[in-house]
Amino acid sequence: MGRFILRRALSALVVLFTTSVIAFLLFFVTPGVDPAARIAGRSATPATLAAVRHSFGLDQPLPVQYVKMMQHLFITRDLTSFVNRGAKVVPQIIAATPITLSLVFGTAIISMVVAAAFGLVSAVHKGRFVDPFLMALAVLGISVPVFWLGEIANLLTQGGLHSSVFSWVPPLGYVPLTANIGLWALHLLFPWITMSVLYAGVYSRVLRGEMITTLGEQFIQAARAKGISERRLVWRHAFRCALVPVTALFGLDIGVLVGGAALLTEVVFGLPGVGYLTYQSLQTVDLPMIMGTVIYAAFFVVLMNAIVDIVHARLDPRVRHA
Amino acid sequence: MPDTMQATARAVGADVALRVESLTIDIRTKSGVAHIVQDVSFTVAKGEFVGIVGESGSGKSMTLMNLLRLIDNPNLNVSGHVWFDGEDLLALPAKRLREIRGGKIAMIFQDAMTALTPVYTVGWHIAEQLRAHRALSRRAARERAIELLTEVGIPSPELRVDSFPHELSGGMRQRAVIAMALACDPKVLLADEPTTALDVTTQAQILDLIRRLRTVHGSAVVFVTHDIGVISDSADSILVMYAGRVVEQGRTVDVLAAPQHPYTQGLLGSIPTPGASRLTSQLVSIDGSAPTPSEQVVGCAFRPRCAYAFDKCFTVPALRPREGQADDHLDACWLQRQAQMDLRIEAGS
Amino acid sequence: MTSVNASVRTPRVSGEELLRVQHLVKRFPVNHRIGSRRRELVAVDDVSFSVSRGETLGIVGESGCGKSTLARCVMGLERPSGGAIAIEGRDLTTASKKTMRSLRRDVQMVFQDPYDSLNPRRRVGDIVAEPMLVHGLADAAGARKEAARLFDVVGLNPRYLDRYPNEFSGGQRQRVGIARALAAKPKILVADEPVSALDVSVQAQVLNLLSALQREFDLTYIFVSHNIDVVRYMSDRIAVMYLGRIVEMASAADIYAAPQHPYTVSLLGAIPNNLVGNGAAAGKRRRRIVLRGDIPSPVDRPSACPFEPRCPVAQEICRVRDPEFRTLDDGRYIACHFPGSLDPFEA
Repeated sequence: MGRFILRRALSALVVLFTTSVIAFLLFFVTPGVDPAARIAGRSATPATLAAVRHSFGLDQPLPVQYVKMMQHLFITRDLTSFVNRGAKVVPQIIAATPITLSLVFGTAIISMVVAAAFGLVSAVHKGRFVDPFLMALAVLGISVPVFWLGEIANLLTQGGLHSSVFSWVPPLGYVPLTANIGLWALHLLFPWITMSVLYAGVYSRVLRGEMITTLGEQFIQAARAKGISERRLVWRHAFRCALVPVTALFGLDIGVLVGGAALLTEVVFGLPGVGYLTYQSLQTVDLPMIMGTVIYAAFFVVLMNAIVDIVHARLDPRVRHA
Repeated sequence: MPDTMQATARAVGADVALRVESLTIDIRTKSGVAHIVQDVSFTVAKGEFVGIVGESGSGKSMTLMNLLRLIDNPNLNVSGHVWFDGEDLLALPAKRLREIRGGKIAMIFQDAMTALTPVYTVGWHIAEQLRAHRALSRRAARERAIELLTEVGIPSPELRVDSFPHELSGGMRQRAVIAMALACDPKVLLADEPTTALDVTTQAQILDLIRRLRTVHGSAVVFVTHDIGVISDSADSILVMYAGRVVEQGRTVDVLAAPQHPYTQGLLGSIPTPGASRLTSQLVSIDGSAPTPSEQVVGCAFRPRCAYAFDKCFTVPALRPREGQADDHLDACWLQRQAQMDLRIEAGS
Repeated sequence: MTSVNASVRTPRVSGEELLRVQHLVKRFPVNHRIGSRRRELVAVDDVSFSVSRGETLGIVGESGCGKSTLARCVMGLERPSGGAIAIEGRDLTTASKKTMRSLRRDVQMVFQDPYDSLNPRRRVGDIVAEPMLVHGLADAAGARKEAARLFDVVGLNPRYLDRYPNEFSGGQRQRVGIARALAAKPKILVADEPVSALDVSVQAQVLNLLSALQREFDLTYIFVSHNIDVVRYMSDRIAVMYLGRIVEMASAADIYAAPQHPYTVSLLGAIPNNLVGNGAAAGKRRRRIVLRGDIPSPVDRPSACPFEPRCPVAQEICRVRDPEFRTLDDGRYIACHFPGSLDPFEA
């Protein structure tokens, strides 16, 4: 096991390094994007620009800039935002993380439960009315854009029906878990539902497909020949096996979400998570913050990758020995 | 009323473990109805080893699979009766059928690797079989599983009980599957080509094991195979199937020594006898190939390939005994005299 | 429609050596990961034999014995890790591209799976014509004419030249495969389990066809199979393989009548119908020897006799020293410390 972890750690470092270099270079290679110009403002003179460049160290050679930024990010952890001179990147990201995590894990649980229910029922009753009905719902869930759904939800809960039906819905924002668990959940309720619609839709279809394939396997017939109940057959044999590839996919999706892809939902619902930070920093072309969020995202994707591999090996013993 | 009672009484004959009566299986396809099994009947006595031999399209596997109603296909139409312990398996309610599956009648499949759910250990599978029919604690089930693994000759059973299917070799896996099948002391063991995927030396081991366990547990065995040689010295009686029908059946000794149906004769003649060489003999080859279930041949299905076909063959021959042969040696052929042919395989004794 | 006995035929084996394999080795790397020890799978371990023109050499063994890998090496489909393969004196392993091309004409293969070995998107006529076009033996029109003739030879109706493989049965597809193999007018035909995937009644058709073709075109066969009765039927000499080695090689009649190597004895004894019908041992009943344990994996092989763990008559020396492949007085080859110590027949 130790060697496995060492190998994963090494490849993780390689990925992180490569990602950071690419993000960094992209920033400078992209035409029309000049951090100095952004900082200096619209009517900056060449002299001001040069001065700004110098004071932010933007006139140094690229490798030097890169190394300096990495230094500030990881070692001294005092990397400061270009835009907001007082704000430090790392603490901001750390503060934003619990929000994103809350959002993503709640979504994960809800969408997995719904996907399991839809997928299982559809597969077992393949061909009968409930099957295409549930799958149509799933397609609907996938097709509806997250931000649109979010805005509609807001319109209903914050706007029109706020005084009547949805009076219990709190205003947009976030309340930490540690402060008040009830309010925490309430604030996240509609964001969870909005994001779950998409993921539940995707994974119901995936799970249905996997279940149908698994139910056609010989070992299901062999298990039936043992005289076990259909319920046990579907649950302990079919579902358990169908779960394996689905978990792998799902884990990767979660990794990407935690890394900041829940951006749209966070913005729509005013949750100051990492996605929101990413969104802001891109708008203001705040290079240090962008670098911070990109590396943070890459780190989480790599971490989730590794966790997914381990979970996959636990779920499917054939993988352990490969 | 009296007829059914008589029929039931016959079915519950003291020596009979299983009795199949007029089993017919059709499947609805886009292009019509395919007849997979047509009017198959046979009896399995208690403790008897019955071999069902046939090539592709013969319907042998479908026959076996549908004894326990294992095929869940709405386009499948199964009729006939399968009498076991006084009940018709084809008419039983699901709950009762489940009690019999694995408990009184167990089944082993061709490929042990695909017959075991890959995410659970071998011990888990055996325990599941045990606990499906007996009230055993987890620990007791595990211990019984180890005993069973020992009985089938798996070394280090206390370690192997926690092995996953992919960690065992083909032969070991098949043994484990046999252990699982015998866990609840079934009266009948159904085996669907259990040795086909194995090497010759492993095949010998597994056949040996099945024969040994049959004597110990007293269970009857219905062994489906495409290779008549495999069961030539294990089976008490043989059924030869062709295009969904039984074309010949009887005691192994009789069928191998004096095959009556031209197809059986051809089948036996097409296998090289031990020691035969292409320099000294030629294999009997039957031209053409067997019809697929959707092809409908008028009369005897073997007629297009038969060297002795004549006008009567346009009606389906009845399966009946023949003058000069034992009462229980039946064949479905209109020929009055047995065709003279060089026989290739003699019966083992 | 069903054919019967034929008269005894003598084999047309000239003394001329057509194929010589010397100390052939083929290794495959296994699951190589950074940091872990490099393991190897030795599929073929120091195999040597020769085949004369017109003869059939049968290679029999179970899974993992390396017979298929050996066949593929002879075909030039795998590059050997060591040793030499010479056809009419020309070495395959050191051949230039040009020589390889002409050597490839000389050796053709019939594959096991009639469903996998024909390209489903091509017409069978094109499949059979292709080798002729590739080797420049005919132009398109000539190749098609020849393909029709070959169809006739293998017992297929030339009218079907424009059909696709999926319109044929397994036995018919195998005939197409044979026609394709014959198209380049090879000297050697390597048949790797050509009938294993076919129904028994169809097997006989294909085996009869192969025998007839050998006589008619003066072909040399290497017949690989796990079924020893079929191998015996088709071969003049038999090589028995176990874990990458030839453990015994002799004339088919000798192997059948008096197998010397304990593995050969058990292999023969494992066949359920054990009454020997023909040959020197006719009338005798083979002993059923059920081996202990399973066929070991070819990865990480033991350094002494590979059969020792399962051998019923193994002794101390078998655990320690690797038996060499040598000739016995009667001309057979064997790799065993104690040949003949296991009696193949019941008293």
